[in-house]
Amino acid sequence: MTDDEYLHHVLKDQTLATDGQEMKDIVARGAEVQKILEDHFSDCTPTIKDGGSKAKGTMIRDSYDLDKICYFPRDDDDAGGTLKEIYENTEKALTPHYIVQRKPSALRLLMKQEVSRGLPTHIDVVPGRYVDGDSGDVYLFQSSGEKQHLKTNLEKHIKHVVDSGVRDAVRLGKLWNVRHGVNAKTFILELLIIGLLKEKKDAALTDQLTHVWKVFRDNADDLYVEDPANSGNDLTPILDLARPNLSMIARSTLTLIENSGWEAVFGKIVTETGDEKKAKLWAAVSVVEKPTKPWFPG
Amino acid sequence: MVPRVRRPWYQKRPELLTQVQEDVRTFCTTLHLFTEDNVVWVRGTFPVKHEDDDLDHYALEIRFPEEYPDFLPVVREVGGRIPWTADAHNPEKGACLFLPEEKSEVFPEGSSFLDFLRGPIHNFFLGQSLVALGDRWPFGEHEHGVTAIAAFYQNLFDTKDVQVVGRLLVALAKDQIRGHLDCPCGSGKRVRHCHLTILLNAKKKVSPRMATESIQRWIQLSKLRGDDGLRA
Repeated sequence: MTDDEYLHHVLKDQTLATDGQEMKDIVARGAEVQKILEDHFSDCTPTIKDGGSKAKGTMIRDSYDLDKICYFPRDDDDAGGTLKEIYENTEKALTPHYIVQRKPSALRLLMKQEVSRGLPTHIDVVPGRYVDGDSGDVYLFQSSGEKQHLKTNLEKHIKHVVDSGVRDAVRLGKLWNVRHGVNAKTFILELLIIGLLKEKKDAALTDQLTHVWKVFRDNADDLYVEDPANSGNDLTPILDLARPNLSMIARSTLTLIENSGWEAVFGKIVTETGDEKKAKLWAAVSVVEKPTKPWFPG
Repeated sequence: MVPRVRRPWYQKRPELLTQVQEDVRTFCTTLHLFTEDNVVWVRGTFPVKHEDDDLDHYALEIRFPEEYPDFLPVVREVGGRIPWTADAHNPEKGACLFLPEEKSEVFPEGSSFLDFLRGPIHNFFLGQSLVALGDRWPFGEHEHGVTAIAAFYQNLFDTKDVQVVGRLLVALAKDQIRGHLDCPCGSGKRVRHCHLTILLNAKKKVSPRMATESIQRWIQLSKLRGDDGLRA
């Protein structure tokens, strides 16, 4: 298998089948969340639809979330007079049903039931308010950072990614971000990769990724991104936080590839059945020298 | 008076940080060490391995405490595979790899971070992978909460009497065992004619600091359970 074939294999492994159970579950859960919001905000008329990586076609199995955007009309105060109130009221609507974690502009939903407590629902709700009736521009509340709100446009973001021609590289970049603990904001990483591959859309995946990592390694301080939905949004503070890790892990990754190949970066493709895997796990158990028993404080 | 600024462990002992870095690289290629806001983290993908085979993997975040290596790193699974439940031995704040009282056996002084990765962390996630496939915990599991702590000390002091266990544990939390005093078990005998050997042997496994922590944990967990802690 060539390196590019391997990377395409990795991508295939990371793809959630449209008719697969995982996708059906997330769509069903998305519908539940939508109903909760519609019932709670029955006096308003929010637009609730899918955004994020599902809409962009950049989902990866290792870390996938369905963004449910919940945008309120400009002149409708029933959901809240301010963006902060809209954000908090949306949180209140969801709290009886889920563990809700605040993200900068979104609300991440985790399971609340006893046996599955803390497991991801793979749904992030993004509350906002339209700037006007036509443009699709919205204001989102920022729960952290200096600015309390930002202006953006979901359709422009989706178009920017879909039209980039480099979605495979974006997906592998996201996988790298997760697998190696880089912790860069996905949104920033996407924009960086798309920007760096503008002139390399037809290059092989290996060349595309190598190029991106070389720039991260050698020019992290000069990296720059612009929000395609709003050039007035200053993404520098978020990018500044990511620079050291992007550079460090890119360096390590390029060395890994040189010394050990691409499998050292993304892992082997697993093909064994459940029984085969079980047998190997028990073989691993048999050679443990110092067994330990887990505990729970209670 | 200028307040004393405590230096983080990796500044006090930079050679230890270098060793941790080396240990991470030795263990696998997908975990990395980061220093952010004066805290050392190891993050990335932890492989469950057998020989050269990666059998499974988990997204982990490992946080090194200020007092490392006196206190062990806290391990959290962040990939959303393991619920925050008692059966999974996975409270929200971090995985319970083993009973803290077993630290001197499981992770004796002088152990390296590599030993920690290959030992307790690997054992835990190896177990999780088997449980996810419907099998049992391969090395067994401790009872939850104070029951396990009590069982540990019942075994250590060779008695089922929880009241005696409690009193001996308090004695263990002191720096010295004084043979001429009355034995804390309540027998009326002097320590040297009663539980001295047991206490001295126990001291080899459990430091006064650990014994003190055990007492605090016992009290805290008993309060959560809603009793006075004298029932194991």
